[in-house]
Amino acid sequence: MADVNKRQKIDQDSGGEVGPLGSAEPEIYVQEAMPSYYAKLFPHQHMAKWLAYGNDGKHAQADSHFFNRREFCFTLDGDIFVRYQAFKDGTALQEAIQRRCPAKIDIGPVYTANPQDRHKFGASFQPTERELVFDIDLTDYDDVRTCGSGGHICGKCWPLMAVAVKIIDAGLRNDFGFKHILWVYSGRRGVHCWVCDPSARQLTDEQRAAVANWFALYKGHEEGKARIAFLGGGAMHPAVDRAVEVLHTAWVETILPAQRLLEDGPKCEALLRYLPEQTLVENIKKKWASRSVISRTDQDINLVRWGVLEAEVNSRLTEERSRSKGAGSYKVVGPLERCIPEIIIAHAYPRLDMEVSKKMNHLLKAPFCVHPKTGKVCVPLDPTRVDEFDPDDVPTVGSLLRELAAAKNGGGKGDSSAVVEADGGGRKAEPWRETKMANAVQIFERCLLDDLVITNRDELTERTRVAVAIGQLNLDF
Amino acid sequence: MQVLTSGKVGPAGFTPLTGAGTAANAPKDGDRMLTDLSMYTFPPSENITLEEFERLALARLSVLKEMEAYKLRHPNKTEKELMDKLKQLKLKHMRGLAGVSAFNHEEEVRNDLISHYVLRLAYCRTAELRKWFLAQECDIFRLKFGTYNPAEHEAFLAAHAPQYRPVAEKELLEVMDEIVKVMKSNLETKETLVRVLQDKRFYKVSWTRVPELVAQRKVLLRGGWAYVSRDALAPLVVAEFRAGVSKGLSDMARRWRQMFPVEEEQRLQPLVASLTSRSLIADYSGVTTKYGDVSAANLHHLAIRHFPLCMSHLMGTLHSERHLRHGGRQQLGLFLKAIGLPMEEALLFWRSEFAPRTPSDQFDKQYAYNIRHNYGREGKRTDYTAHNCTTIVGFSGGVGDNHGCPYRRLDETSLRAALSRLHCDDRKVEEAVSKARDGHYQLACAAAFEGIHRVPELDVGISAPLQYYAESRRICTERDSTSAGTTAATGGAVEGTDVGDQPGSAAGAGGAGEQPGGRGVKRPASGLPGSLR
Repeated sequence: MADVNKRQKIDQDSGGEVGPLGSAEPEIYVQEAMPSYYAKLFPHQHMAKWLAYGNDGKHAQADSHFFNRREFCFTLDGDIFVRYQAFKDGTALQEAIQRRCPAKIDIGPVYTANPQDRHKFGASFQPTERELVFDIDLTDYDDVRTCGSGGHICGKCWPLMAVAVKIIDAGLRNDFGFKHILWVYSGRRGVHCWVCDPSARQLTDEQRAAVANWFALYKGHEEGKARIAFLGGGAMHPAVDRAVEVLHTAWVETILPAQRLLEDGPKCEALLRYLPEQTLVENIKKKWASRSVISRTDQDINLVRWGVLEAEVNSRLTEERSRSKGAGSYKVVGPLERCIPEIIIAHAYPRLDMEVSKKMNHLLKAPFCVHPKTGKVCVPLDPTRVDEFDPDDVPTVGSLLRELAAAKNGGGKGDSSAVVEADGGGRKAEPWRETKMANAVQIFERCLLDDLVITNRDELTERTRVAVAIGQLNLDF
Repeated sequence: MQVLTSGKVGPAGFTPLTGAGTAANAPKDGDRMLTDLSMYTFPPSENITLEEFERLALARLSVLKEMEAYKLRHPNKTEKELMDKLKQLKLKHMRGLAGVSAFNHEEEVRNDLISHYVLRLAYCRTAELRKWFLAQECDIFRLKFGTYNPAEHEAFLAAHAPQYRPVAEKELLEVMDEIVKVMKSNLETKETLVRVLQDKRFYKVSWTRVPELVAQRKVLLRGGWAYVSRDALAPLVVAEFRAGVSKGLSDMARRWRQMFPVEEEQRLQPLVASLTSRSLIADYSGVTTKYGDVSAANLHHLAIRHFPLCMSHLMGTLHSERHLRHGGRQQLGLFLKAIGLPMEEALLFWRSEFAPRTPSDQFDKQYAYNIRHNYGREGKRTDYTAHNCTTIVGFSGGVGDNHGCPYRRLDETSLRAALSRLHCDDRKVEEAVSKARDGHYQLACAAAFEGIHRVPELDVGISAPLQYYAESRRICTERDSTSAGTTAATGGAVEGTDVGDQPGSAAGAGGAGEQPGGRGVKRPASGLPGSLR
């Protein structure tokens, strides 16, 4: 959808006019913008601060080689992958990025040695640390969304991502006790999650797989229905219970009406297949066709129909239970009890890409990269405000550069007096602070960096304590 | 741990392994005293004599091997019965080894620890040895852990596995509902639910230690803690035990060269290396004096009655083919020497057996030297010992070879035929065949022994043909002496049939036993009719 009017040279004056943001920009255009992006917008120092995990300071226990053992992978223009890039420190990383202007930057694990020396070490070159990561992609939901497919994303299917973020975030914090969790928009059609706790970074492949499986309920398709990993006991696991509660709210408030799943069509038929009894389905259809339902205007038709469906299932349940004095034949009651949660889970529960999480050495795109096809920046998300996120309103490299130009001209943005001059304190010019990038970086700081810095300090203190205990430090009093 | 030769202060022994912790973290002796269950995380650190080193190792090895044999023969014993057997074995083998007569708890723990570590040394070198050792130790640990009462569990966990923290009552009240839901969602039976609710003992452990439970959502997670019931605890603890010992074994194998400083290469290292192949039974050399009636004349009788299948099979083949290949000659020849056949008698026997096909001078040229060599009268004059079962089972042979262990070599039909020829009880034949099929050759031999002699179970397995022979003779001697005075009608010639006692001085108290009355000593002519098949 190339908007020809947008094909303007970047450093041209746009006369203070900040053009409409958000439309996908042609690929070539995006790549041409990268040098400026990396020069002025990409938050190099924040990234370096994050990935150093406290080892960049002067603390006695700081591992000065830590940063150098991290693998980066640059994807250069023309799909050229350059793996096993390593840098001494944040400054070196910045120089390399600005020099080579990669279309994409991936972050890999921290190895036992500098990745560039890996051939010297043979089998002993192994990953030692790596954040716990998750990747959720809307393409995996194509069978349950009606607004589009493939790379499509819009306000109607974004709620699926939002609810996934909420469920996984809550699970990571409450069930597993993780604290330093960063959610990032992946640039086109999904989200990534980086869990940066020290304990998370040390997890083995087996433990990572365990976490991924803890959250995995959707196990592929079978006979046109999603297979849910329910054992079908009399109860659901409390974690699943909680997830279903969150899901139910989102289902009723946004997902169901937005996706129009109960309006006549193949998706509706597919949904009805989850009901265990054919008579039940027929009753529901009859009621849907009834005048009282059709004539309702107060509510979205999908919600009306859903209400009918729920009521029918419940009345069938009551009937079955009372028939056999309370408990009811489990063979009949069980599926009835389960069908509604099953529908909701099948249509809305998070669908993780298991392979991404399982292995320590999986490369994942770094935050603040620019998506080469859409020009959108991979901005961090605040999990508490994920419902308000609009995937169509994500800053693109074009829009940011326009903002910069506007700010330079002194127009548009507010008090930009401190824009391009380095202040006396020695802080380098940070032009991005005048653009929407500032918001993104702020989220980064708030959700990850601020607390991480404290934890890093604690880690170093702990290392000192251990060293003293082992007697490696001689403290003479 | 230092190992001294008795009495002398010897050079430093092998370097102690560094455990997971430092001196600061090692449990004090007082903690360990609470229970004799141990994870063996820290090696012992004291000086002991070489004798004790060896004795403890062999004692524990006996316990492990006999426990294994017992379980194999009685697959349906309850935990309690197995535990009783274990206690009995420990009493039998590991009692009072340090020279102290009183059997106290402290000593038990100490012996347990030392013997475990010495066996680790012996069994760490190859994957197969490691696998066996690990399997035995884990079984015993699981058994012990399973039979301990809750108080002992708590003590053990507090001392050896502090990562499992008991859940306080107050906290338990909060999470109990959710735990029940977790169990229901995992389709736990009602009985399990009831039992767990009554027991009310829960532990919490960091989720990273139970990834397999997390992956299947089998536990409640809260803030990184996984809640496990006491029931569920056992497999976890056993798994940790297994992981710890396994890691210890592989570490030891990797650092093998560092284990032994140069001085020990001649002293400790051969000792440790020999532990795995050592015969665990008492030395049966006394058999030659006890039953000193072995001569070329009565070998055939002895063979039918008292030889294990490997040897009687060889005897049979020798007799029918008038020849044996080298492997068979060695295996049988050394055995005959071990049971007390004098060299002259041996030469006589072999020559007469070979006679129809091999003229005498050819025999002298080709075979006599070898026989003399076996008896240590030629060449470097080594006194060769007879082979034990482990070695014999390991023999490989081609077509036309008859040595090795028949339970391994022979197919089932031949095995059945051979055993019934020896008049083994049918049920026992089946048992022997099935054990042989599963690869437990020595247990098959023991089953055959029981079937032939009509004795209830042998306590110890068969670990050498000589042992089979000695036991067989002992039993028959005892039977003879108890049934002294019973005379039965004279029977025919020597039928390889019924329960027979061989003639000869060892029959002792003139009792005819169940046998047709006293037979004289017959000098079997070459080619004894059909009695040896």
